[in-house]
Order: sequence, then structure tokens, then C-alpha cells
Amino acid sequence: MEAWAGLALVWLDPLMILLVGAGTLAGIYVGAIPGLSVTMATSILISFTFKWDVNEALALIVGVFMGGVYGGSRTAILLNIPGAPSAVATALDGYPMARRGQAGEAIGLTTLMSVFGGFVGIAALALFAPPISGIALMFVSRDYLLLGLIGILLVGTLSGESFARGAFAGSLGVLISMVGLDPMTAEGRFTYGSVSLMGGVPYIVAMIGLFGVGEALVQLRDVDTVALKQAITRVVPRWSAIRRHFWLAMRASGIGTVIGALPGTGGDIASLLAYDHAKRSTASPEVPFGEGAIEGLVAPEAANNAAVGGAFVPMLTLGVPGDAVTAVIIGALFIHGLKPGPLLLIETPQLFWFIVGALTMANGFLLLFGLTGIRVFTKLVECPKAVLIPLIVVLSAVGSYAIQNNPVHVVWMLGFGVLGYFLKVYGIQVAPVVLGLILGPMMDSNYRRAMLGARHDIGTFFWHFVSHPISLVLSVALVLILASQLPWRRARGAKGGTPGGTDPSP
Amino acid sequence: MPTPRPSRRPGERLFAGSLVLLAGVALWQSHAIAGFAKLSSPGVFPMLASAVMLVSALAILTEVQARVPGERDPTTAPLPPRLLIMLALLVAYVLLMPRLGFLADSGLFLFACLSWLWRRPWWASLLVTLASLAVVQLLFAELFQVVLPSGAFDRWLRGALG
Repeated sequence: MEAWAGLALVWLDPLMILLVGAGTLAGIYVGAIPGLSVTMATSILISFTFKWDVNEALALIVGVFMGGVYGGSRTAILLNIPGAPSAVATALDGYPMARRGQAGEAIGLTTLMSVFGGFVGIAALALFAPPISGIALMFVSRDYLLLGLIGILLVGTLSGESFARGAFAGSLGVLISMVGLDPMTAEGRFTYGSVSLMGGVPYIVAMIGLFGVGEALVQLRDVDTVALKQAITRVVPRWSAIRRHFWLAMRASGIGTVIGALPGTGGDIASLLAYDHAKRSTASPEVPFGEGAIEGLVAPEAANNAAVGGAFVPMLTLGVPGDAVTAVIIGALFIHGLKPGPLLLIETPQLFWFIVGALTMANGFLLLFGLTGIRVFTKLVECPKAVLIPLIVVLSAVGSYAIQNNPVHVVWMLGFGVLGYFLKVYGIQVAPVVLGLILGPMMDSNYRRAMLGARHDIGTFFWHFVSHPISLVLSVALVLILASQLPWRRARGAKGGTPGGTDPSP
Repeated sequence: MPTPRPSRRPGERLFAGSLVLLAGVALWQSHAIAGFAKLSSPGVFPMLASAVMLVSALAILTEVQARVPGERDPTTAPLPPRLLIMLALLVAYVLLMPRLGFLADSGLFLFACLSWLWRRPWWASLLVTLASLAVVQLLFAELFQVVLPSGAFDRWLRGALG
């Protein structure tokens, strides 16, 4: 019953339809324009929409997320520049297809497969989130501590150059989140008597700095790159092509959903794994992989959009974001006074179904916008970086100021931007920093509750991790992830062709 | 997928060294919060986080030391002149905002950046600047109802215009 009420909130309200549609269209461009990322756009958007009603804000953000994951593929195909990390695999075969004059066909098929994958992910969210949140109700504080650790570890190990860099980034985020008054004892931590530090570091400002300004500074390095254009022909894909690749798309969507649902891994990894799967499972492609194989386009595109629905599963049921964008969306929910976690589905089930409904609608809009307006699109995407970079800075400044109308936050944004720049330049990803920032306070309070539960006895504390079934499963997963990162495993994995860091299944 | 990069980036050793220093200071400051008083004190988690930072920073330093020094290539320099100019513009932009107010300050910043980075005549830069400001004002101040930072200059201007 609540399900229909929640779905009706999106599907029957013209304002919501408009917001989801506008979000999806904007998302496609954000995802497509190299230099703008969905994470960047969502973090800036949250600061603009936090005064709105939560449903309206979510409708827009969900649309941007869905559109953005898809949009990256367009520039990957047309310009060989993946507009978003989740479209890296798409460029491998999409651009060669465009070079052969099949750009339109490639875009049409990509759109269809993205929409297909999107629906699989959403179906998984609707089916599995309620039972998972039922299990999550049995989670105790140490399980949340473990989940937080697993999330940060997965983002850290999968996205960076080395395990040490990921671990550093994650713990740096946790440390920054400790700044301010301790919520349990009201003692100041790293405040040094400054009033503005007592409130803590607003993570949205940090996110805007790291993802917005930091990225803009990195982009400054290749401000003069000019891309080649491609001709567009037939856009609507052939029925035979769809039928032939249906099962591959189905399997890729499965991979995408599972990878998206794992805390810390998102569309970027899902699409690379799906590409790898397509390569292994296609015995005789018409065109070799890397030279424009259609299978190399179908698999990553179905997978990265399936990962969107998947990413919402851990966020809504456990309160642990599935990837960088859901980490930002969790921030939005907090700002609107909601607490993502197992109680969200019980206390506000209509919100859950609202999100499912908004995702479904965004996916529908994707089909509409994906198959139309491609010629206009190619013109708009050619926005030169020289114009884009200063604009990102100005938007980031508005965003950081808007949250609390505090001019000091603009200075912080700049500080985080410079930090983000140096981290990126030296191969340290900023996503684990943001995840640490968001999960840090949750991990801290759960650690201390678990320690209090063990009456300050380290032996009892660790015994609890192995003596309770849920904690044991999570502990084993954590140990396996850590073990897969040991130097000798990595060395062996590298010889075997698959580095240890790319196998995220615990 | 992580790509192995055997050669060391310029300035990478200095960077890794400062990470170690940062982590060390963080550990010391975390210890200063509550010492080793209790296992559930507010200082324990910061200490754990900074200890992980210190260990991983040392690991990064070892990693970097093991790499062969990369060739001096101006395109991979961590602080190319272009970045330094941008940083100077950014600092000026942020510091002038409370004086000039958002619109005037952003206008100056955008125009300065465009005239410098974008190889078009000055009037094109001016046009894009004005158009961007108009869009920001309409979209954010009017539609999203966001309060834009005000400053002494635009308060004076508003007063002068009545």
C-alpha cells in the first residue's frame, strides 16, 4: 500500500515529473561534458536544494544521477573522452565504432542497454532492499563499524594506485570528520579554541572543494585539448542486434547490480568488470574487442546503469553508501533530517518507494532524451575547458556559501580544492576521503558503543566480532579484503593477468 | 583499473614526506585529546585513524622511493605556472568576495580567467561573463532562492541606485 502511495507521489505529480525530467536531461549533459562529474554536480546541487521539500530535492538529484551515469558514454563514443569514470570501458569499443561511421548506432544501442540495465538495477532495489533492511535491523554497533570499514576499504583499494594510498585517503577523511565537538561527550576535538571549528567541517563544503575545485585545477593542465567530431547516422538500433545481445545485457546488468550494491564500489568498476566478462564470454565477436565490438559496448553500458539501482541498496538499508554519488546523496538525506539505515524503510516506507519511483521515471526519460537531440548535443558538449573551469569555480563558491551563508566556508572550499588537487596529482583518489568524512562519525560512535558493551576489555571486544554470526560474516569479509591486498597476493595476481585489487567479491 | 606507474612524478618524494609529517602531527594531536585514559574516550578513534594514516604514509614513501625518477617534463610538473596564476586568482577571488559581493567579484574573476585562458577577443570573454552571471543570478538567486554572498561594494551600489 505504502509502495503505491510512494510511487504515486512521483508518477502523478506534474512537478515531480518535471523535476525528474529536468534532472535527467541536466545529468546527461553533466555526465557528458568532460570536466563535469555527477559527483561534483550532486554535491553542488545539494547545497542549492536543501531548503526544498525533501521529495523535490530527491527527484532532481535522482534524475541527475541516472542521466549522468549514462551521459558519460556519449562523449566516450563521439570524442573518445569518457565524460565520466563509468564510461571508460565504453570508449574502448564505442569510439572505434564511431570511427567506422556507426556513431549513431552505437549511441542508440548504448541508450537502450543503459535503460535495460537501469531497470534491472531498480527491480533489484525494490525486491531486495526490504528483506536486507529486515536483516539489518539485527545489526549491532560493531557490525556498523565493520560495514564502515569495509566500505572505505573497498573504495580505497579499488579506485587508487595502491592500497596504501587508498588507506591513507580513507583515514584522512575519518580524521577530518572528527574535527568539532564530540557528539557523545561534547568535548572539543582539534578545535583549538576556534568557534568555527567547533561545528566541525561541513562535508558538503569538503566535497565541493575536493570534487569541484580540485577537479577544475587538475583540468587546467590540459585546457587546450581539442576533440575530433563524428558524423551521426542511424540512431534507433536494429531489432536483431537487441535480440542477439539480450543475454549478455542481462548478465552485465546482474554484475552491475551486485557491484553497485557492494558498499564502496560503483558504476566505474561495474562497467570494467562487465567489459571483462563480455570479452571472456564472447567466443567469436564480429569485430575484435578494442576495434569496435558491439559486445564491448553493450556490457559496460548495461552494467553501469544497473549499478545505480544497486548502489541505493546499501545506502537505504544500511546507511552505507554504495559509491561516491550515493555518499553525497546520503549527505542530502542527513541535511533533510532523515537517517538512512534499516529504520528508514520502516519509518518512512513511502520515501523508499518514492526513490524507486523516481529512479524508474528517470530511466524512462533516459530513453526519451537518449534517442533524441543528439545533433544539438554534440554542439553543446564542445564547451571549451577554458570557459568551463572558471564556471565550475564560481558554482562551487555559490554552493559552499549557500549551505550556511557562511563566508568562511568559501575559504574552506578553496583549501579542500588545493588539497584535492595535490592528492589527485600524486595518485590518491578523493572518493575515499569523502566516504571517510561521511562514515567517520558513525564509525566512531559505534566503535565506542561496542567498546562500552565489552566493558573496556579488549579481549571481550574482539571476541564479540567472531562470536556473533552477522559480525563473524562481516569480519571474515573484512579480513579477506585485507588479505587480497597483501603484497604477495598482488604480485601473484599481476602475473596472472588480474591484479588482486580488481576482484571486489569478498 | 590501477595502472602500474614505475617512474616517480616530480615532487612526489616531497609530497610523500609531507604526508608522513601530517600523519605524525595528527597522531600527536589525537593523543593530546584524551591520552590513553579509556578505550572509549573521544581520543581513541582519531588516534586509530591517524595511526593508519602514519603507517600508510610511510608505505607510500617507501613505494615512491622504490620508483625510478621520472624525466623532467614541464607537462607533468605539479606546480606549472598556469596553476600558480590560477591559485593567485582564486585567492583574490575568495578574499575579495566579502568586499565586492558575489556578482561583482565573480564577474571580475570570470572575465580575468576567460581573457587569460580562452583565446578569443575581449568582447567575447565579456559576453560570456555577463551571460554566466545572468544565468547564475536567475537560476540560483531567483529560482533556487539561494542567498548569494553580499559585500560592501554591492551594498553601496544598491544604496546609490536607491
